Amino acid sequence: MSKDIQFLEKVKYYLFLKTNWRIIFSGHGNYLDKFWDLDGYIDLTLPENIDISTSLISARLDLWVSDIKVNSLEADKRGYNRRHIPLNLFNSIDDLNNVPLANIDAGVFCYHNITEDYKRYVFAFKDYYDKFSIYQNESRIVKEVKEYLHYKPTYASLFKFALSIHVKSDSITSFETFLSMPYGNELTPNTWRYYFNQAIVSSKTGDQTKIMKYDFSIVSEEISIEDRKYLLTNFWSLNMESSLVLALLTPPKNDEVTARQIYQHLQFSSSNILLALWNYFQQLLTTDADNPFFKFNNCLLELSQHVLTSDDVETIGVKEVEVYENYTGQWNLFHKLAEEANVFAHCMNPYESRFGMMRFGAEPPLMEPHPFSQSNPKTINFSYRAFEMSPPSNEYTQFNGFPIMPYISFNEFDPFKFVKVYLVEKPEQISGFNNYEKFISILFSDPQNVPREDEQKDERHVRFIYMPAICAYNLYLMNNYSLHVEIRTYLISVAVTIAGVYFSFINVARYSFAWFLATGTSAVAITSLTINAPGVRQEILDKYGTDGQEFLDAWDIIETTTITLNFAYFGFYGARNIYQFVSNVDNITSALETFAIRYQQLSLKLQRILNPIYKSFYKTALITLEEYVDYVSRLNPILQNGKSYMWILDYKNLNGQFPLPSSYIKPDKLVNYLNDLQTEELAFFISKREIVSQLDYQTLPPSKFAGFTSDMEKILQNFNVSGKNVQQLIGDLKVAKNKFLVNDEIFIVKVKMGEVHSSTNFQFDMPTGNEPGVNIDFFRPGGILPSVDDLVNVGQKIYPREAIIKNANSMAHNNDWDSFKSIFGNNNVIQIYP
Amino acid sequence: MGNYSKAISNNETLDFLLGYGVYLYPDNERNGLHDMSLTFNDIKEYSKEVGSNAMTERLMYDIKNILKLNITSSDFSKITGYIFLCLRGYYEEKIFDSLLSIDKEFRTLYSKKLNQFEKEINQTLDVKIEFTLYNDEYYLKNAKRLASLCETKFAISLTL
Repeated sequence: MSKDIQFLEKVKYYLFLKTNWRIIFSGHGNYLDKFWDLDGYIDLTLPENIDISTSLISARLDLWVSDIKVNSLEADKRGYNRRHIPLNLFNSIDDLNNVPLANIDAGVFCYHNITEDYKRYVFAFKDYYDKFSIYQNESRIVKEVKEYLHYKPTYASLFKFALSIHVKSDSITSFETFLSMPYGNELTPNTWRYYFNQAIVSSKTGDQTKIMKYDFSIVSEEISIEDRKYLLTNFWSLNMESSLVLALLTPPKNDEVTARQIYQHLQFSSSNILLALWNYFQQLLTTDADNPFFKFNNCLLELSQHVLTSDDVETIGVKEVEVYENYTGQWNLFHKLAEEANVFAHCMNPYESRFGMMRFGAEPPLMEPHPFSQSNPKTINFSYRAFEMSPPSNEYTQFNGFPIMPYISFNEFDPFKFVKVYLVEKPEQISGFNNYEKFISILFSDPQNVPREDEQKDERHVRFIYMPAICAYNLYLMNNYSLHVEIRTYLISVAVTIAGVYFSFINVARYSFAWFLATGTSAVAITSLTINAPGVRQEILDKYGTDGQEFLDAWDIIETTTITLNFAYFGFYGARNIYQFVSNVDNITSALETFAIRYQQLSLKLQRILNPIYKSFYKTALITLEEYVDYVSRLNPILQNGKSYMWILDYKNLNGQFPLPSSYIKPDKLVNYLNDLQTEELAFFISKREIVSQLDYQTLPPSKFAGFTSDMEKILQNFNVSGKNVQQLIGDLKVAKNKFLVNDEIFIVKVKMGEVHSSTNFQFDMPTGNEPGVNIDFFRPGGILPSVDDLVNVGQKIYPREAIIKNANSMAHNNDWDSFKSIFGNNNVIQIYP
Repeated sequence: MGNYSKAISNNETLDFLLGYGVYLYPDNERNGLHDMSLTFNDIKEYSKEVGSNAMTERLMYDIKNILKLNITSSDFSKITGYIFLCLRGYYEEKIFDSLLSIDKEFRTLYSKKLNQFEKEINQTLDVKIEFTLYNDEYYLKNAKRLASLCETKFAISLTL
């Protein structure tokens, strides 16, 4: 394949694989020699024979916008095949115009020779418009089209976005051959898949030139597990580059099965692949954060998270409890933990770790001189001390001034054994772990009570990660190569992932590590220790027999569900992986009922022990269920026959985007909604801070979520009745915790279309969930906002409806409050707080 | 202890000011991009803790250090934003007693960085895209807009 094809192959991959069109202009790098971040990315390194310097626009992603609404409904109805959106090659603009619009999903429009040497190709994605934010500038397009394309600008109305590429004349044949190439399969010549397979076959014979032409993210996505295993097993003899090996170690996105298969291949293969890989990559360790060893360790760490089980967690946890019960002290406690329970600490502050040691008086003899246990050479045995940045030089053998890594024998210990690594901001936190009572009080504190106004003062909590022993050892090696900052940043992000916390909410408890305990996997893992602490399960079984067994079974379901869902704090709105919740809702309902009944039958002592479970996870799971039931009871009456919330989620899973409301909501209900929308119009709450101090933007977001005015007025009444409690407003609207602060000035904005400046393109519509910027963890289809207890009419509920203001970014407020008010009319921006 | 104080004691002021890692305040309506208004809230809190004079000195120290690093145009936009907010806080809102010192060293660093971005972005794109998503060019334009506001509203130039 020529380099032209190599390049366009990436473009085409983008066309047929990326059904959710998640394009992020990352703000990094430049346009031509780095990349566009395209949910993964397309490397836009240009082939040699496409000379961009002499062409007008050359290869760049260009966004064509017009105000004509594209009917993407047709495309949605048909549903895209996940892997193949057909390309249509048109030879002239007349050809293009003759094709019914509905038949074009994504087309390449071969335009004309812009110079003698170049031909211009435009890839157009017509359904992109509804999903992402854009800055509309019709006049510019018209100008550009007239000026540069020499054609009436109407074709911009056909396609909202286009990728235009100039190809040199001598490459045109191969280019067009490629464009007409279907995805195909391995057995059909002249198809994409055929060529890809040829590259894999060559790779397996030691010829890596073909496979190296592919973008590695494509290799990660496309290669079969069998080929992957073969290549990994033989990576050394096949002379592969490290980047290709890393691609093989990276599973396709959201593909847990493949991730587990890769990990298990490393773990159980008869040839010691991990040792070979480790020996290879550790030679590539440098102080550069981007070094292959760092990436290799990250790959292992991420793969391992797919095989980590609650048994692994509990095994360590139980041992940990035992050590704490019998031991006191500070640093020596961690050494004890390291030796007996496979628990280590990674201090995140190099200065603190260096000098903090002295402050806390850890005598040198307590320091482990070597990462391997002296009592049991099959385990690595380093604790807090070992993760410092500057260990004593006697840990290394120096060779010409360079440190030589300690020798590691894979025969002596199990590199796949899961260990627990605490991430410690400051050594002071470790001092909190100096006896069993503190351990219990710190780790089992009630998660629901933690993320509050004073959360920043709460430093009792720590984060941790479970990882294979080899990864912990690698941390040791990398730390000693001064990669501390990068390691720390990465570990924090992994800890976040494992804890099920995502950045959307991390700010809620920015410094409170309790958040990590309060949410998701880690919280359950820790809290479940109360049930799995020595003797507790047995006591329940001994005293309560089959009822006790029922109770434990019910808890296991709640635990599993919570681990999967990460709804520990937010309930139904804000829960991730809601698909799994909905598909298991019957089991969860039954488990919650059983748990509640049996819990009440337990002795007071057992109830006290299990109180953290009851107060946090049971109650949160219950709230989630109640909110879910309430939601579907409002959604179902407006759904078309045969449609359900599950159908909508299935569609999203399959197509990467939510279906349009018209495909699942009854036509009359949709009409009613839209009529009400026109009558009532919309309102939203906003803080002045958001306008005048968020200086990165001089407009509202392109899609502004809002509520029907009458509903928002009821929410406002609730707020007033609560004594203007900001938490009430946040809770009623189910928005992020820092959306409104106590020192904010808060306003309600009523969007009256008749009074809004006439030049805006504001449009009201039912949200699809595909809006630019939307947080889908909060989005629930059907224009439904969470039901709210009516504080004015006690005992009644408010059932607010949601809508979207499209093109809300079309008027700039320039961070000026008066300008912002003038957009909506001064009388429609009403202060409600303080 | 406020977040800025913590970031200082943890040697993480860059992350704090630019909204990286645990310092990210995500904006749920903009794909979780950082909301600098909340960071500025923390800066105001720091000013209450140590006084506005110490705050402005520290902030300028951190900004200068950041300008010496390889940052993105989005970071550059935020830095410019903090400067504008501090100036506005002093001149208009009267929430700070002391003025952020825009000295020659700062102007030199700022101008150098601005030139670097302009050069990079112009080199890479010969036709301006005015309406893309939040990309390099967008943030550079935004930084220039804010710098221009500093000049027109407060008669303070950020460049040489």
